[in-house]
Amino acid sequence: MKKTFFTAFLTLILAVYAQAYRVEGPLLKTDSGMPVRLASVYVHTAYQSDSAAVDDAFSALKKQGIKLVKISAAATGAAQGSLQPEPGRFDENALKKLDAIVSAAAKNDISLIIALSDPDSKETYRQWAGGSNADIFYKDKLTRGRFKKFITTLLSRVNTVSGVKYAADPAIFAWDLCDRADNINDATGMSMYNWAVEMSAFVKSLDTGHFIMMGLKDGFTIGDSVNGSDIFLIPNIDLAFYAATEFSEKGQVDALTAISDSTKAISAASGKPVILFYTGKAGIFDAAKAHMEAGGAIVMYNETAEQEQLVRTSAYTGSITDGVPAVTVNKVSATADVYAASVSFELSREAEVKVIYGTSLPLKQSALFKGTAFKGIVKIDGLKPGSEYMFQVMAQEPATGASGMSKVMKFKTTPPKRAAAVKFTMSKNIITAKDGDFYDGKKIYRYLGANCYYLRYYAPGRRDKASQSEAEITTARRKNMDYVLSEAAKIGLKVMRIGSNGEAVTEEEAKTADPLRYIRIGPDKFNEKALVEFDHVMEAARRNNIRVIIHFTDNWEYYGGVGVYAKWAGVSREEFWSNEQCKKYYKQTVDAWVDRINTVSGIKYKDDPVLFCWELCNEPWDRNDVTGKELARWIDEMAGYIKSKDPKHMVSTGSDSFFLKEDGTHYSGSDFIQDHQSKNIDFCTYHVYPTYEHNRFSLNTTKYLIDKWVDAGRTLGKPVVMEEFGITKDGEYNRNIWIDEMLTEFYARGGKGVNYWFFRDASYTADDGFAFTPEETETVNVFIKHANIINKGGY
Amino acid sequence: MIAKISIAILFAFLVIPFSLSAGSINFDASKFYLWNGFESELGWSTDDWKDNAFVSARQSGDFVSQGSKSLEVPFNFARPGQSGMVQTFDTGDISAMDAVSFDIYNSSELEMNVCLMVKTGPSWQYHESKTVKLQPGWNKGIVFSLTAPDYRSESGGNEKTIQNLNFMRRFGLLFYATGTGDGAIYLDNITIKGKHGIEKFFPQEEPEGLKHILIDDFEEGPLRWTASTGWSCAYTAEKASAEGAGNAMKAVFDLKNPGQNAVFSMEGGWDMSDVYSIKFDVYNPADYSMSMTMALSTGDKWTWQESAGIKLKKGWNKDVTVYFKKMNWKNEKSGWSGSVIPDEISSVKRVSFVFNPPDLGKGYVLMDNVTVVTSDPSKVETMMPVKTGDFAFKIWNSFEKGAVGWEAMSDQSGAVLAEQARNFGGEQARGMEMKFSVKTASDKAMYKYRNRMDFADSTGMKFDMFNPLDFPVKVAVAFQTGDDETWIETKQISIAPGWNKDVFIDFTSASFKSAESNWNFTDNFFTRKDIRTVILQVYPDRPAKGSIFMTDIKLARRNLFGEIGKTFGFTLVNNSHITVEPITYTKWGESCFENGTTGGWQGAQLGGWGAAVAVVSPSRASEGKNSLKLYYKDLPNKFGAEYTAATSMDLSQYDYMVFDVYNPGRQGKYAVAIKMNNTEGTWYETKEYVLYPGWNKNIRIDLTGDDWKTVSSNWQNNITITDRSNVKNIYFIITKLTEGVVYMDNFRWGKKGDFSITDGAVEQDVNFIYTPSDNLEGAATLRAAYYQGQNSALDLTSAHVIVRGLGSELTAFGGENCTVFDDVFTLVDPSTLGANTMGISLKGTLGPWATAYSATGLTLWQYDSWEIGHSYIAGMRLKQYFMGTNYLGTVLMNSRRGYAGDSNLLLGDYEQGSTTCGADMSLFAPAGGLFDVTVKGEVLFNNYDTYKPVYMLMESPPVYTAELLDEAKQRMMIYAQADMHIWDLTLHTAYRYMDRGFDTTFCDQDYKEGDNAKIINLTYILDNAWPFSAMAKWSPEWAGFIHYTKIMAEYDGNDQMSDSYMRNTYTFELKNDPSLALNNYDLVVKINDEGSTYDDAHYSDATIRTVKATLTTKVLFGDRLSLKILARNNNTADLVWDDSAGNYVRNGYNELTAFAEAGIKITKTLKLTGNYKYITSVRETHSNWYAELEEILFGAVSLTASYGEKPFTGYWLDDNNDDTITKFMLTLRGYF
Repeated sequence: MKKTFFTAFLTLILAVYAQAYRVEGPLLKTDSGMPVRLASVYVHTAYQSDSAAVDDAFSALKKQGIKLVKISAAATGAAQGSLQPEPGRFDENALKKLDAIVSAAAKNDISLIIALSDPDSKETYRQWAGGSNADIFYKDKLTRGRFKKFITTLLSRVNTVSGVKYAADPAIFAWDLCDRADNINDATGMSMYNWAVEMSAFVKSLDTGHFIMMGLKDGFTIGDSVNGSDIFLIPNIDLAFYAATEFSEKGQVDALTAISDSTKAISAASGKPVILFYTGKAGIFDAAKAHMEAGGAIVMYNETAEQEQLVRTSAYTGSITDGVPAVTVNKVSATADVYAASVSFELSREAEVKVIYGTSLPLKQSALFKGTAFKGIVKIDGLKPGSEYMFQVMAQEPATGASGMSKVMKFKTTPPKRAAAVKFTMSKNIITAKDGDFYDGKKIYRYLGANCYYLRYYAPGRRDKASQSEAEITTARRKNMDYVLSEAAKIGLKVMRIGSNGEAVTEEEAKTADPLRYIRIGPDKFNEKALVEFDHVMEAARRNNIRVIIHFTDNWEYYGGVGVYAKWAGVSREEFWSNEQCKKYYKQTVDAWVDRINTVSGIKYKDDPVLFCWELCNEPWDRNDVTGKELARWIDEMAGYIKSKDPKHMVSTGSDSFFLKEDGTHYSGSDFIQDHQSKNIDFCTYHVYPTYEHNRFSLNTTKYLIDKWVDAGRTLGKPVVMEEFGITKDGEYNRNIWIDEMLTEFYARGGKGVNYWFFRDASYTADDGFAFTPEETETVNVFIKHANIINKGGY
Repeated sequence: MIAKISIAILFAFLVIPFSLSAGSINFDASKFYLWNGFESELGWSTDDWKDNAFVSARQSGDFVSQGSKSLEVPFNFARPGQSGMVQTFDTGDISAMDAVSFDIYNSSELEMNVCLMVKTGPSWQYHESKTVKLQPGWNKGIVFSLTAPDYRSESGGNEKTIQNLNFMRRFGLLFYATGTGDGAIYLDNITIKGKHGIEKFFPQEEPEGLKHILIDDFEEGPLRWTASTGWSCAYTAEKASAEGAGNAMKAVFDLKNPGQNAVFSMEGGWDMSDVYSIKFDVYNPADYSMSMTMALSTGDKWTWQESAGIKLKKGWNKDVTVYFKKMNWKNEKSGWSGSVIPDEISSVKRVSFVFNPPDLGKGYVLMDNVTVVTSDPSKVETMMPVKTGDFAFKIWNSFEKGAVGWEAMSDQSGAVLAEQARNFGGEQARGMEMKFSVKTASDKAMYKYRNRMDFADSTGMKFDMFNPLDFPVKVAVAFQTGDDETWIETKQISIAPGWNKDVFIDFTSASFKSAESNWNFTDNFFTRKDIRTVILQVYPDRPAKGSIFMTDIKLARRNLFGEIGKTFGFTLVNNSHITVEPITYTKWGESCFENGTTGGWQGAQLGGWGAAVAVVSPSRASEGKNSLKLYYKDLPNKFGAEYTAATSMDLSQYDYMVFDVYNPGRQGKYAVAIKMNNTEGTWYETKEYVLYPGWNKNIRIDLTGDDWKTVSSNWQNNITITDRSNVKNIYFIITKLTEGVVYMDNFRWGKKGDFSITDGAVEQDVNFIYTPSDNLEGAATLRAAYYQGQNSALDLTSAHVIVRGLGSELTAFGGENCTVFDDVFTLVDPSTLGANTMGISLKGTLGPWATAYSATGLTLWQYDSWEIGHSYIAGMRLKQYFMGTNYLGTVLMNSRRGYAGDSNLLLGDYEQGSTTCGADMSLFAPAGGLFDVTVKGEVLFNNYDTYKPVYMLMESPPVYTAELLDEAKQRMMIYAQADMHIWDLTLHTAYRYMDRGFDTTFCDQDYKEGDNAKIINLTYILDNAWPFSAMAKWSPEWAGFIHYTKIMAEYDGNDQMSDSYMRNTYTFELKNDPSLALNNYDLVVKINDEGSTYDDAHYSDATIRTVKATLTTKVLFGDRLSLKILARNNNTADLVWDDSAGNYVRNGYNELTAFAEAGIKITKTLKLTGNYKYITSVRETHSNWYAELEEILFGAVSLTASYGEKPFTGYWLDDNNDDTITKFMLTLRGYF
């Protein structure tokens, strides 16, 4: 036995004299490739001692055979020996003291692990920030900036004793990002994890030569989302670490077994050399033996440890060739397309392979290689297009449990390509409806379209450039009309429902908003400027072969709406649907539109084929009469009035359309059947937002509703238009699948037209969560798919 | 006067608290007050802003300047010019605010500018303040003026003031970064300064000392939450095991119409004004998140109040919290915008969890750990489940002893039948199967058990139910109590598929609903001493056919003695009162019989009276040691005791005569007469009053009253005795009884004058119970009593022993008013027995043949209790059931009654005896659900052993009673009935033939001597008929109001009641369901043609037609005020002697009755009730005021202070037409 120790001791001496190490998987090796095991001492008090005392201590450790020592450079704020007494102010004397310690280590052939932060400094940083939690150190970006400044200061410092830059000093073995790092306030553990990712990368950016570690206080236990092995898998963290105090109440044998098991587990999970910081009662030597025989690389003690045991430990290297050598992962590469990637690998011997991947650390997604192999390809599906992924190949030999892993690597999926859209043109016919179908002349007509409410008044860049002239604004606005509608046409959207109402109670109110926001200002004045802009919208649509739906007013108040009419008439909002004065005002609005001659083209609106239809009101509700009868009477009367003025164009309701309950009521006072029964109504509309907060319908439920509406329209003998529908992008729903399935269901069931809510250009950033832009290629492709079918005459 | 006092009390209770609450805080307009410290809820979000650099907002403890939480808003300014917005919506009117201040921590190295951005008014007008520069780190006290003219509108400029501050739509902070980068903003300590009116924005601070009351962890007892089917897509609520969480409630819904919500509710009546929040756990198994809210139905209109929406993620959502003090609730008043706190929170009728299921078809959520956080747990204690472990139980009905005794109320519900279920399970072998077939989701099935029951010594009821269906049903138990059959009902209990063991009803908590509580679940069940009907109501909540099973109904008593208490225990019942009146009493010494003589009293036997003998007795002395014992017997059932003055008596010095009577026999009537010492011997007589079995203490005869009758009043009770100074005789007259004994004592004279205590008593019963097992039960009641001015008492009042086994039950019982024996065959109606009974009964089922038998032997009509009586009844009954409730039965009964107290019951002489034998049958024929028919019939043959035998009478259902027959030795009785139900129509026909000689006078006022009755009764439920169907559609309130509105027409043709007397009655009635409607009404028109057909020269008008129209209604005004109104016009007539005509003539007149009662609940436990009754006719006019103030103490004690004499307030007003008397009474009753 003694002979073994002696031999091992010599091996250690030889190894540490080399003074340079590298990491190969879980093994720590000398530059010459010789695996080593190290014993280390944590000298907590070094920064509090004078240089002579530190020199003596290191000298004593050297005599004991200790070649690796951990010290702290974390003293901050008011702490003794503080390197950074105030944020951004560094104490040169304290730094010089650190210089002396590092030099003393070099003199005694000792390598140093230097802790950059610890619980005390975390607290100081928290106080500086005025934060309320210990983890402010991790979470607060301002604080992280301060810590980085300290790291920068230290790592770029040139030792005043040795003249060596810290980042290049061979006396330094590793940087410990945080000594006794713990996680208190964040149950997920992500704040500490993200901090470790950020800080390890930052240190690595300043110092590629030294190892980086994280001295976790609680080992594996960090949070619900990450654990210790996630920390050790961080690419820029080189060493795994765990602290053990006492593993078992049952005695030393259990404690040593626990150490052995832990070391093996961490080694396999991290693929990196494992440091054991041991403060338990099992006996230093026995703990070190258990750790090292389990493959552990470094064992660390407090400086108070028993001398004899330290000597024995420092002399022990174990049987470094014992056990099964790690599986080496070679020749890793990846290729990716839009939604998938292939990762190829070669192994030193046959093993099971798993690829872990993700767009951010930690890598939580995984794909398995089926069976075992020396080499192969792992397929990964369901990736996001145009995204950069990190991945790591992990191998494990089933028989022995030996493992290995590649470094973290990257691949990038390609962005989706826009599908080719079928071009379409617009006839000079005014679209009509008959027997449940739309007709373009004698040809049956169906369409896919969208809503876009802002074209009349919105000018890109206006907000950013307050100094824009009126002419510049107008140019930008009209240019944008063309842009949006041309983009719509490129997708195959043939009919656009464009915001066309706007009622201000008074002139005074109108002044508080965009001058073009209101079509009608007070009961007596129409805003010609706004109407002229809509003339331009019509012409932009004409240029792009797009037809336009105009609605006269809105049940909702965003742009005035029926409530303003009621105010003009001096009645309650609920009376709008029955009050004669309101009806008179409303008919005036109808007159203004129907009789209008487009100031750009000179075409009367009522003769213009660009106009797809007139629409009475956006989402009319009459809560005054929950049976829906009063609203139906209003619809019939007003649609009849429009028909009397313009018999050519179709008229519809704009209704979001509910169905009465069994008791013959609905709180909205709107009923799909009654709303569309009038002979003056040419087609039926409905609006549906299945993923909206208070609905949260499943796809099946949504399809059921679509069927119900389309079937009800068929019963009425009129075409049905899904005039608004929108799917949120909050991640819970796969929007593209939903849109695809809803459109398929709608058209296959017999629906005739769709307007998605809503289509916008990228400059218009007011997104309610439903909108899509021409740049959202995947979504655009779904629309193109259906538009192509429609525009080729399908469905 | 009373009205004024009532108004004063009303003012005191209603107005003063409001005045006190109008105080104000010490408000300083120069100070900033906290608006939002983000301590409990965010209120601010990053929603709905274009290209928002702020992506989310969450509560954080990282950077806090106030309290312990702040709002953390991570940002990523990805490009120049990008803005970040965090805001709150719909704050309403903030015009009282002058300025707002923020503390902002900038967790980045970016320099930013921030401004206040608000949108106001109907058109969401845009206003943006000047910007303020933000440094990295803390920026505390950033103030924006809300009144300064330095805001920019959408159209530009920077000199505008904010318009429409009274209509704030969007109120937020808009951040602009000077560069790009990520980080986070922490927002805290938002404070406001301004005028009075900003107080409403101050956060409701979490009060100190909040208690977390777990109201449901769904571990024990029955499920108290129910699925609201019909108006929501909730399907069932049932218990289910939740992995790692014990039991939970599985709330199942079945979405058929997208958008419909699923509501799961618990009903009650709770004051939740001190509730701060409710927390619960919800498991959402769906693939997507789901929306839910919590809803409260409050106030008398059950106004719907709904909380802010809650998003339930997939999986467990722990500690989901709904805050009651946050202004994010919505109701109709708020226009359904989430900007108010719930209204009428002190009166919460229903708490609901409302889910929005995402998927069509069936789905579910699990709910667990519903916890109320409140500062006053006592107000919500009834939300907590009753811990049945604190009770001990005795069997009430385990369905082992033959017929179940329950019957389906198929004329009012979807109940089809109730029958015994054999080999059923439960603790013993048998149970009850209740079949039903309901047509709509709101219909119920009702099953009733009729008997006289005294549950005063029980604190609850427990039973087991088995639900073989694949969906839960709800059940509620209703009781009808007292002569009025007053309805009181428990909450609904959900019965899940499978066994539901230990369903418990707590009698002691204020959790019942009744008209008294305005149908809120706040009533105490104090009337359980006199239960007439128990009704089990089953709500399948959907059109359904099926069965539900019940067994092992047990009564609970409090267990104060741990293990011992499970077998041995006691309950306490206290009845006490004290009465103060402006009357002073003096003893009539010689009529207290203490000197051993009868003091001038003797048995009276006037012409036509039966024989009576009066002796002094040491028994039943209510004062001193002696009483006057009066034997009476013989036909024609009018007896009396007579006092003869030595010369004459001057009663003009007295206003009242008062005395006590003990009646050991059954209920009869009495009157008092005075005979003048004049040559005519003028006779004055009172009306008849009820002589109850047992003690009738303080019988008071008003000598000055105006309701005496004499020859000069045509024997109408409407005159005053003109001269009381010369009285020769006083008579105590017993009527309606045939034979027996009464004891009289303690005669006093009363004189109006100073107030004194005229009556006072404390009765304390101790009910001992010993139940070592379900097979053995022994019980006894000990009464200790003190009576003011009378002897105290310490008696063992009743006892019984029950031995059960082999499907049978043997009961031995005895004592005063002993009602213990459960006569499921209705052989004997205990109410017709005397005060003292002893007997033994054996009942059960023979083997597997469904042969039920019953044998009862009892003695009755004792002189004293605890002695074998010298009358007895022995009866046997056998019923063979087949195919459910169909049966063929036989009956054999023998009765004997001896006159002499020492006669041998079995072998000695007796003066009356009879043997009855007969057969009965019942057939039930359901015709494929289209309609069903029940036919019942009974033939009884009497053989009278003696000249004057005893008995009996049929009612529907058959009830036998002790009655007298005439000389004929054999008598036949036939009874047949058929009931048919077709949808909402019920047809009931009955035929009853009795040989003349059956004297039925006192069993039912409508029955006369023998009859040949033909009854046709047609009832139709109008719910689905116009206009009721239309009313139901108008609103849920109307639907509730008209539910089970039924119209009934009845023809009762008693065409031969005797040789000389007949009657035909036509009744029309319109009434709604007394158990459901918010406001009850009952309109009855009754036409009665009645009289003698005997062609005698003395009768000029053979029959008299009376037409009686009565409307009763109870109208509710909120939860606190109720009004009960009765109006009746009785067009009636007397037969009066017409001297000129020389015969009796019909003297018709109208009698108008008006009765109004107002009740106000001053507090949860204090109720003031006042009523006024007014009756007028050409004959007499009476008015009566009565008021009482009742306080419920400890939930088990009722203390009542009253003025006046409580009039009869039941369904029919009786002829108790007394005027108001000055009388103050304090009454205490308590069940422990």
